[in-house]
Formats: sequence, C-alpha cells, structure tokens
Amino acid sequence: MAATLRRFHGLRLLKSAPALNLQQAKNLSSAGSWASGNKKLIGAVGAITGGVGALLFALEQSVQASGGEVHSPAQNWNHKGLFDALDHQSVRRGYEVYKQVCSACHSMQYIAYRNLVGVSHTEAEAKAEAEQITVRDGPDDTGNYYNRPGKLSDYFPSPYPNEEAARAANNGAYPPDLSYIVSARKGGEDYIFSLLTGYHDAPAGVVLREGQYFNPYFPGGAISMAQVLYNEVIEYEDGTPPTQSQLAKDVATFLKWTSEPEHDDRKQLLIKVIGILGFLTVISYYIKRHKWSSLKSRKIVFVPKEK
Amino acid sequence: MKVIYNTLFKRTSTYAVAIIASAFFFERAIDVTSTTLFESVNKGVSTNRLCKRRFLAKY
Repeated sequence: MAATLRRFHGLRLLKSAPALNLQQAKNLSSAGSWASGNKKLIGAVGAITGGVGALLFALEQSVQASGGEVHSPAQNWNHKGLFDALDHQSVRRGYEVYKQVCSACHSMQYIAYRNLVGVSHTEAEAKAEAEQITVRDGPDDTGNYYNRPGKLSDYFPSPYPNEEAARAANNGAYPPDLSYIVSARKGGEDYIFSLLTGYHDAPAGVVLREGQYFNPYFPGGAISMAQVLYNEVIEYEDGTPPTQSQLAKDVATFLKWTSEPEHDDRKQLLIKVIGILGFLTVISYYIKRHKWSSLKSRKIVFVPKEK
Repeated sequence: MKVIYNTLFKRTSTYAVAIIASAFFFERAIDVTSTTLFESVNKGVSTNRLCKRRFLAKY
C-alpha cells in the first residue's frame, strides 16, 4: 500500500504544495461555532456511551465468572478461518450421525430434505432419504387423512408429537430442537463437541438425581442426556473410522451448517466486499486529492490599499 | 484521458452506455475473481459447483 502511494506521489498525481494546511483545515471545521453547552452535551453523550459499554462488558464478565461449568476450548475447525468453507463431506457424515443417533430424541423441524440438495447430497440421494420417512397428509378427495412416503419438500420428522410428550418420555427434560442449536448456545460448535465428548463420572460431592448424568460443560453439571457417542456406535458409509471424536466433530459441523446454511456464501461474499470496497477506497482517495488540490494550493494574499 | 472523455463521457447517451457496460464487466470480474479465490482457499472441502459434482459423484 505504502509503495503504491509513493508511486502515486512519485508520478506527481495531483501533487500539491502544503500551504497553510492546518489553518485551512481548522477553518473548515464546524465545531468552532458550537456553544460551550453544546460541547458539554456532546462530551456527556460520549462519556455515557463509553461508560455503558464498559458496564455491559464488566457485567458479562462477572456472569461468565459466576458459572460453575467448564468453558469449551476452541477447536481447530475446518471452517474456522475468515475465508474457510464448511467441510461438506463432514456435513454429510454429520447428517448420518444425526439421523442414526440424535434424531431418536431431538427434532430438527426447520430443516427440509430439499435443503440437503447440493450441500451434502445429490437430488436423487436426498429424494431417497426423504422416501424413508412416512408423512401424514390430507385430507384427500374423500376427506380422509392418509400416510405417504416423504418428499423433498418435507421437513425432518420429529420424534415426539409435542413438547409435553417429549418431556414425559425424557424424565421431564425437553430435548431441544437442533435446527439452530449452534447459534443458540454459547461457544457454538465448540460447545457441542465438548458436550458430546465430555461425559465423566460425577466427582465427589455432586449429587445427581435419577436419570441425570454428569457433564462439566453443561451449565449446572447435571444433564439429562446420557452419553450417546461411543467409538463405532454407527458405521460411516464412506469408511471413515467412526471414533467418538470423529462422530462429535462431524455432527457439530452438520449442526453448524443447519444453524448457518448461508455460511459458505457469506464467506465468499466477504471476498467480493473486500474487492469492491478496495476499489472504492482507491477512487475515494483520488477524488479527495482532486477536490482538495485547489484548496491546498491556493494562496490568500493580503494586499494593502494604496493611498 | 482526453480521448476517453470526448468519446465516452461527454454525451449523456454514450456516458450511460459506458456506465452499463463497465458495470457488467466489473461485476463479472469481481464474481469470477472471488469464486476463484474462494475455491483455491477451500480446495478439497468441495464447496464450488464443479468440486461438489465430483465429490457427490463418489457416492
């Protein structure tokens, strides 16, 4: 950048001699005409804004410090970088994990089979996946409801008809819907990964009730979900060794995609924005120099009247 | 500079055509460049259309 600027200056592009710059910049400012009350008001608004920001930050820190749960460490995700896309083969494996393990208790009601097309499955494969479920549809011509195989437009089936049924089947605990879970939990996919791999025996002094398990990453430590991911609990169709951490990583990547389906497009858009804004910055710099060239090179001369 | 001004920017009609034409090429250039960059950064995780087809063809 500096070299580019020097080259511009070397070419004497709109180069102007610095004459009385400071005085002229001061003359262009409108703050000189403000009343002192105005200045105090603006100063107070600035101080209050900064103070409120600092207060919010301090409160957030104290809330974090007051919890007993372990904060999930940041993992080296494939999509961690500013321009890094999701690993779509991992998304596909994560879908297998969700379908064979998680979906027994957790719904995913905002994701439809059509969303898989072009992300992790071809259209034919997504259709085949959808046909495995049964959807209650109707009414037909005679007013009756009927069951039919799923279509691409159908959403993922829920394991329970409603929240009450889910609570009744799970000891009173409600398995949350997983569609946007990565965005809904502090720590995002790091938290999901840590939670799924972080089950322990409860340490001395921690009392768990019937149907509760100990997980240091879960707020409070007592979680009603048992450990579900073990080595080789399912088999991947692409032959990847299904270790516990591999399963957790894949399902966390899949849940990252369901929470942020626009993830890849967003990151590609960033490249475009940088390109366009870079171009506009160069133009703005040129126009600024152009407009200021007359201001900076003019000279105001006082010529006394001849008597 | 003067040639560009006299042939393109002087008349509103040619100026409008110049704007529309340059917008088209600018947009294409930004699009193609950003896609190429994104694909080269993410080689192997198959996000672009071509890669995706190759990756999905494996199954």
